[in-house]
Amino acid sequence: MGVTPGEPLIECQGLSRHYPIRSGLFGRETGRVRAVDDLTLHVRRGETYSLVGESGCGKSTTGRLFLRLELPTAGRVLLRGVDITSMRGTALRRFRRLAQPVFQDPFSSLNPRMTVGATVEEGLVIHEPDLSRAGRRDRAADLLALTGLDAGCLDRWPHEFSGGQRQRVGLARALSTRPEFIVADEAVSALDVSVQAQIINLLRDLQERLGLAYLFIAHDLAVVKHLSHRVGVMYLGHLMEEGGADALFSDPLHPYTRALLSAIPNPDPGAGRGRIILSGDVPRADRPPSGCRFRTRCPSAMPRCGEAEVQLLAQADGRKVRCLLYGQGAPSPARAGKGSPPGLSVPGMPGESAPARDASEKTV
Amino acid sequence: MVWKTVSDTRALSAGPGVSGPRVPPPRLEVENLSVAFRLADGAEALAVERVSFRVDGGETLALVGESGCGKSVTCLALMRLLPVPPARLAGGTVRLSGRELTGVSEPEMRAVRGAAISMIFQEPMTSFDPVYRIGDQLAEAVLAHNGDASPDETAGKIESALAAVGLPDPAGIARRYPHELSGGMKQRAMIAMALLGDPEVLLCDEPTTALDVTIQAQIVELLNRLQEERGMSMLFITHNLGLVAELARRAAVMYAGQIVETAAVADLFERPLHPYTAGLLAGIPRLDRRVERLAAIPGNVPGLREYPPGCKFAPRCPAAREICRESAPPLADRGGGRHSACHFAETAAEAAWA
Repeated sequence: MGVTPGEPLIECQGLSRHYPIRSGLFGRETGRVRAVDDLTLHVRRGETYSLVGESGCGKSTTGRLFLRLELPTAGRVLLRGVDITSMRGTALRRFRRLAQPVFQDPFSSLNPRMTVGATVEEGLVIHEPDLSRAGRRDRAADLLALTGLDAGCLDRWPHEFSGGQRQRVGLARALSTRPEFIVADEAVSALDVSVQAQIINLLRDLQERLGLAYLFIAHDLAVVKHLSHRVGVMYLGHLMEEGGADALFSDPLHPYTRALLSAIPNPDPGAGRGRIILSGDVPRADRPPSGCRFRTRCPSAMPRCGEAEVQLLAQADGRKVRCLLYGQGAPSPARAGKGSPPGLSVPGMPGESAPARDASEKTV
Repeated sequence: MVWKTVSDTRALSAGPGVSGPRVPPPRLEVENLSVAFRLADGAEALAVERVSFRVDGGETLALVGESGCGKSVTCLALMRLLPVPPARLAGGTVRLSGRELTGVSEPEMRAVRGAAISMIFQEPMTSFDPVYRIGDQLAEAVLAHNGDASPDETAGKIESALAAVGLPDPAGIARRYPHELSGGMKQRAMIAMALLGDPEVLLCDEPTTALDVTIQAQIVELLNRLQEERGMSMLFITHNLGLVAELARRAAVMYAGQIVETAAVADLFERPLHPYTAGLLAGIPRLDRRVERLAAIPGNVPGLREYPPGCKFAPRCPAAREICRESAPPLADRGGGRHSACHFAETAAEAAWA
């Protein structure tokens, strides 16, 4: 990657989002979908952190929590150390300016009744009220130029554009408020192969020029490897493995990461397969398996995998794995100490081991 | 060098290197198939233009291309499932094991569909009727081709079909409604339904695109196993080059309604002979290698109305020259069972994305 990431910009600590399942006449809570469970991660300035996993793993909910489009059941999201979940008024508006989304479907994420210009200018009306009409239009033209569209597009309508062009408009709209952090939720998944490469290159160029931090949510692991500095692998609401993109892809540790990587069809007819085929489906999120959530499909499952929650532990090389195969001598349900055993915490990664899980102070 | 224009689809076979000592008979032969669509303003446009290919017994041909390239329309035209109008078969022939299908009546076609040739679709979520049990929907397929089947016989057929695609508790699955099955299970049930008539040819239209990768791997394994067991031919439509490499022996690449290149899969990936194929291969990020920047094909896939004169890929092709914008290159024989529709096939593919 071209940029060297800086200090942590945004992080979450012990982040959980549970959805109650209500049934019966009085809407009694009969169960909970643990969409995101006890998630701790950070994204640095100029860094691409990717969340990967299958549908229902909680990656999109995490993205929404980072944008405060959703409030957590427990845990916090901190932008430069300030909790965004309790922000109000001016502080919240400032946060909204700094954190912007780019969505998957360029066909439904643009208002068909607004011209491209109006869409791109809309954020400026709120965040830069002093700007004149002409000033806004100039800025919108600049933003379109930044994303590879010419100013002639300002007065055109979304339906006149192809998927790739619309995604450029979506990016220009997101960049209009001069954000530092962008949540890109499957931002290239709906695009055709030939156009996807253009948008991937554009995302990287913009990061280099503007120092953007991306939380990149995707299921296409080849795209993730190409774009990311660090990667987190989610399964049923839990972070199963986290590490630098190169290390994680060349030497996946968690059995789930391995299976996920080996499931990708390799565009090389000569390559050996050696595929790990997982049996069955992802279990239902309202009834996750006890202990390790992956154990019902895991080729390496052992009896004690079901006994107690498995902790996400830092390894010697700075990666983190939630698996009994890696350094968890005994399944210890006690969360004593600071989460990771001494000597395994990583220097220079603030917020990794220390603030741990004094969570649940914030319940919505 | 004189390039021979393809007039005979037999020329599109895998070539001497790939076909073994015993050449199986052609299962599916499509020759110069063209499909026109009437547009809203009354104009007509060709969505599929002079498409020719053949699928041999027991082999898988991948039809590769991006959205709107005509790969699904080709498939639906083979099954005669396109609504007429707005669609119209504008020319060409389809032969199934030597039998001409283009002229046959609708009742005859109904006897072929689901029996000799069958199809599975991309969306397992919408391919089943949500208000009928899985078993009842499969029973319909059994009774359509064998009206005399007794209820017991039908149930037995359905259960063995569901078991054959690896579904646990087939009798239980047959009693369930589609929404009670996961995406992967639904796609398995869909495959079971398609195989009820014991088809010679299975058309697969992006059957794994809507599924998660671990489930996709299961379905790919299943299709490979079923094909081996039954000696069935498959036409596999996809935009995923990884799947092409894993599933197919030969591939045909489509762009803007035409086949622009055909080759054995190994040759195609090793040395593409069309700049579009080369661009597709250079534009996908890969797990097994590292590049700083992807080679991106500029511009967008043209819409039906925007097809340029000459070579349809010319406006996006870095190697295009004057002649490319004037005359459309024919899909010409390049030897070794390969065909490419490019004026500069030997050089352009390599030069274009260097």
